[in-house]
Amino acid sequence: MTIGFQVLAKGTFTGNQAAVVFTNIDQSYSHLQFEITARGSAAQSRVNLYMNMNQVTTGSKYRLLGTQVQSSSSGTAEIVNGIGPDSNPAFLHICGNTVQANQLTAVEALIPNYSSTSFPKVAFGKSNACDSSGSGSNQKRRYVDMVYQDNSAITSISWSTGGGYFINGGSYIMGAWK
Amino acid sequence: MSSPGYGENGSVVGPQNLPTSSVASGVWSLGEVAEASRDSIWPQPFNPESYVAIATFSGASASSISFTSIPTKWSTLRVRVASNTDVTSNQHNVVTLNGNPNGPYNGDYSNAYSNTVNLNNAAALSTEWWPYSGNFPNKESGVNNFPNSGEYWFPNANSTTFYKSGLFYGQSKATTTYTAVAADGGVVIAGYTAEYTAATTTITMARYSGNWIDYTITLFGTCDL
Repeated sequence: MTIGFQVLAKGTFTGNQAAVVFTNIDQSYSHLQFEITARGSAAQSRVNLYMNMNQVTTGSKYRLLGTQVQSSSSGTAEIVNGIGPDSNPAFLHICGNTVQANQLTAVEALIPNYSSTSFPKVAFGKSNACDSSGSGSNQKRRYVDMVYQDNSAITSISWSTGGGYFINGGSYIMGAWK
Repeated sequence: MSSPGYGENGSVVGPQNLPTSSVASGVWSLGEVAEASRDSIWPQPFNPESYVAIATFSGASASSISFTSIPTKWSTLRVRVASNTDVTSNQHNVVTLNGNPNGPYNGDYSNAYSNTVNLNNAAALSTEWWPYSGNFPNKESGVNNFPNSGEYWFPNANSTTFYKSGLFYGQSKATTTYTAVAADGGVVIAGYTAEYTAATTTITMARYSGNWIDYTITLFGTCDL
């Protein structure tokens, strides 16, 4: 048995993908880790990024809690204060298509204990703030926990962006730890 | 389809048996193994899809370290740091890519210390300081006798199309006390974007002031996207 990190799936966004879906996730690891660099096509400075366990978007099973920092000239700290229960909350943010060219948001998420059938799942996620030429302009760096109130093993996960698609050229990795 | 081969003089009859980076079937002399390894066509004893330690710097004192000639096969790089410092102010790092010290970098940061949730100073900044003024490692009180630890994450490191965005999170603790003042130190999280599209082949981590003290700084890579 290999101990350590193993990449299970990887790829590059192509063809104006609205989502990337990981299915038939190997259940023999202890936790999952995602690394994504992405940018949304919507004509906004920031768009929502959704992560759905077992592709579930109904039933109000998600709750979020965390912090986010809005990057501006003065800087603003916010608490992501107890969102949910919700059927499909925005987990993290990525930059939209109005920030300067070549920008991607860095996203990382960890889901410990994903194969358990005894406990709800708790994901930890973070995304950095794309910046527009140093001014910040309404970008947010976000660190949150998301609880998925369901004891089912996580066998599939979808990532999607709010409105539009992932700009081609970004990338994604799903890895797992033993 | 490759052309049929006839082997080398003195070898067995048949096509020449050539190794690849993933397969080397048959029986090989040590000399042939050494030659194939030199030519990067011998299977390597690590899995490139795992986190692999690429290089480590450790020592008593250094004002700057630099990882150079980073292979561009890694799409994700991480630098894990454990270090003290020897200054009590300006305790941040100047992190530059590919030797571009004065280029367009942007950063923002926040920290929390002691028993107070105190996210602050979150401004976006045009600087290669990372974390910007976040005191990592932290010796603000002058009594830090233990190392701080943190991780710099560089996704998309081998892209030649997009800017290089990253995240840092780490411990910035200067004392063993919790008196609700910034000098105690705490958690630092910081974003960073280097507005360069070239693949990252060099990462330089210099102290803005003072030195890395009793440090171990390791570069990891993973995933050949």
